Amino acid sequence: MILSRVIVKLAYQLEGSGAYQASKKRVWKLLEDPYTRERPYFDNFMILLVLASVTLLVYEVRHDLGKFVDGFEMLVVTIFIAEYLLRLWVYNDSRLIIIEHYERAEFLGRPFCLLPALKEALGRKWEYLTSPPAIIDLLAILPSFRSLPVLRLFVLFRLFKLFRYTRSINEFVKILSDKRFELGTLVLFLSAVVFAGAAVIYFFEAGKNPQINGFFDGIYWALITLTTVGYGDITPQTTEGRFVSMALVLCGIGFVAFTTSIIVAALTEKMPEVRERRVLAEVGRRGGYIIICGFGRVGEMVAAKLTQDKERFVVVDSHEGRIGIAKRNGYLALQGDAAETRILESLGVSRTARKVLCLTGDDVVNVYITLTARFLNPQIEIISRANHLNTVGKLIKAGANHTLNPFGLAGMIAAEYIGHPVAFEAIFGMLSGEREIEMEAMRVVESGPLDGLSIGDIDFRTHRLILFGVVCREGDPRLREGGLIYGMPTMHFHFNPRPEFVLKREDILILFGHQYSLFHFKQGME
Amino acid sequence: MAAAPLAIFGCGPLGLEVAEQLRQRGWELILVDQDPELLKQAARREMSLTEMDYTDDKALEELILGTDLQVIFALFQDDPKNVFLTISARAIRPSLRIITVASTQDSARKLMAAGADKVIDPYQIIGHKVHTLIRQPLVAETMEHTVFGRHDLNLFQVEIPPGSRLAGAMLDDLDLRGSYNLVLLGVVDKERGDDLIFATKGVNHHLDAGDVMVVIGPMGEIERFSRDISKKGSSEDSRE
Repeated sequence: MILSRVIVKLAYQLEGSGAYQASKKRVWKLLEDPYTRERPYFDNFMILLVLASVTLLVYEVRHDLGKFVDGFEMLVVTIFIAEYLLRLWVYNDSRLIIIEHYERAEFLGRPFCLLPALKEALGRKWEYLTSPPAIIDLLAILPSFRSLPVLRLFVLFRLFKLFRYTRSINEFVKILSDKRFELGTLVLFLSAVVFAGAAVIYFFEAGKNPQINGFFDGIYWALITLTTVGYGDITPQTTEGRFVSMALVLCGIGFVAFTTSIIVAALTEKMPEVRERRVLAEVGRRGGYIIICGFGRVGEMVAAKLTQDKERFVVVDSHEGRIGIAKRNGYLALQGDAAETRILESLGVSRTARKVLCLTGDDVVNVYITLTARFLNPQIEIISRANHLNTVGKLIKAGANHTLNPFGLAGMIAAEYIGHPVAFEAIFGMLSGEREIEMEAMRVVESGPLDGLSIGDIDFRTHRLILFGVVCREGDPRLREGGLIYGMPTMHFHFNPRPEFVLKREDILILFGHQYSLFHFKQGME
Repeated sequence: MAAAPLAIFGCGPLGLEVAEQLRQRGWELILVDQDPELLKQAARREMSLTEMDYTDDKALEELILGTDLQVIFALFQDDPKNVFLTISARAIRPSLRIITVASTQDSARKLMAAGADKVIDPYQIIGHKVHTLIRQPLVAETMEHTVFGRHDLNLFQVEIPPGSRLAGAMLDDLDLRGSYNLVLLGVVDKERGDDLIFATKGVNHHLDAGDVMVVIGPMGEIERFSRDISKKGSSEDSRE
């Protein structure tokens, strides 16, 4: 009774302790979380450790290295044991099981029974202990107990431990396990042939052939022949035996070819999936990605510009050829339908992704992607392309923050060219980014050099800049002083403020100028 | 067929968009395409249409010379068609202004070589805009809500008429910001050529008749400014 009370109290204490949970989380991130940055370091360290220990153990067979080996072995085993226990610890939360049982008992008004709760908690741990990776871990620890020389063989299990740390081997095993039906059939067929061959050779040659002394020799011979290895230490002496070996060799060629083709087929079948997993792992680990859906002309342009800015982005397109182009350019690219919830989700739209750009040429697809992304993450910024003017409203409704209408813009520019060819040049220059003029926003920093200055005090001319206007927060008292105010969502744009206009912190100056001037001005003011 | 100063070839989404924009600005135009399907769609927007094969030189010549066309838009969705039309039209009337679209930079160069006056690349523009939206969301938003939006802040060009009181004045002496609430973006100084010189160059210009100023401002101010500069004389006292 006292014991159960102590355990329940302990469980609650752990549940309430932030430090305990934080450290558990940290350990989990290091060991199990596929998305953290630390994990690769840890994995590589463990791989090195495994390789070093195995090399040393092999080297030691014929050389005496003295105390050093024992010390190193101690260190390795300590780390292995610590890892083993930590993995066991973070596998699940036993305290939650106990608390759940306790609260259920309280709710029903029944006395709390420790035994079933403990049984369930330990059962979960046992589940981990009996899983294949955990068993390999345990076997990798065993060889250090030198009193049992047979256990030295288990050094090999340390090599198996590498599976844990390298994703590519893992993937290979997964591919093979997908083909287990084919491979299983093959193994069954192989054992039947080997058994039959062994039986025949044993039946005909035992007694006549001094090399065959038992049924095991028959099996050994059949397998060596079938796999086309053919050592030649056992050779058939009778005509019947030779017939059998001819049949076995023919079977063997078929067998080798068949196995190879199964594995190759499995690999080619799974290659796109493996590549996809690679991309997803990369995106998940680093985070902060911009997702470009649709890699047409616009997508290509945006990708090229983002590369210049050293931004991280990933391209999604359902067209294989387009993805091929993206890959040739060295971009991270994923072939698939971006409208699928699964793909957006695994690209981290609801977690780490920064923005979603829907740039496909199909408005229906753009609306659908926008809606899916918005559904996954209410906060993420979505920029979407609308090829028809009617789609703009739909995209906004679907949750796009910004919409772009290429034909509308081109139409506006073309129409402008007729009436105002010179003004057109200015607009065209600014819109296509070809002319040297650029627009830049500059925030007034609190108690920075601009804070408290009035517009008339700043010499924009010598800096070769043109002030377009100032963006202020909504409800700013200065806006009531008059001037041209244009409303924007949550902010106001004050066009061409008067020289008396005093800048405050958080104001944003919108400036025109050459990029060098803008850069220079910003540097001088920050 | 009524005499029209503008012709749009290609009734795809872009052609219709341009037509719509031009119609809003009060231009008369004809839409030309050889695809009856596309023309049928355009008919719903109540525009004057002509079904014509652009590869037929005779018909093209008739259209361009017969209606005294000065400007054509080659807005087919396929770049080769635009190139073909540009070459044919340029041969018929060398003074024709031809505006066209290209979907790749490569075909933009080809169109220029074929004789187009202006090649618009909508995809490049959108690409640049997306980039601005990512890098400088605030700038993009400001532009979106002012110059390119439905507000009355406009980018406008004002030509200095002969005999204007501004002729002979220095650009720096002009206080456009203070007295007109206009922001000057650049000037085409006829002495220096036809290119727009942005005001950020920091060059002081000597204004002459025929020079063009590009300004941003509300429509009312722009009109007041244009009215004022067309007044004769060089006195400065007529400001208010």
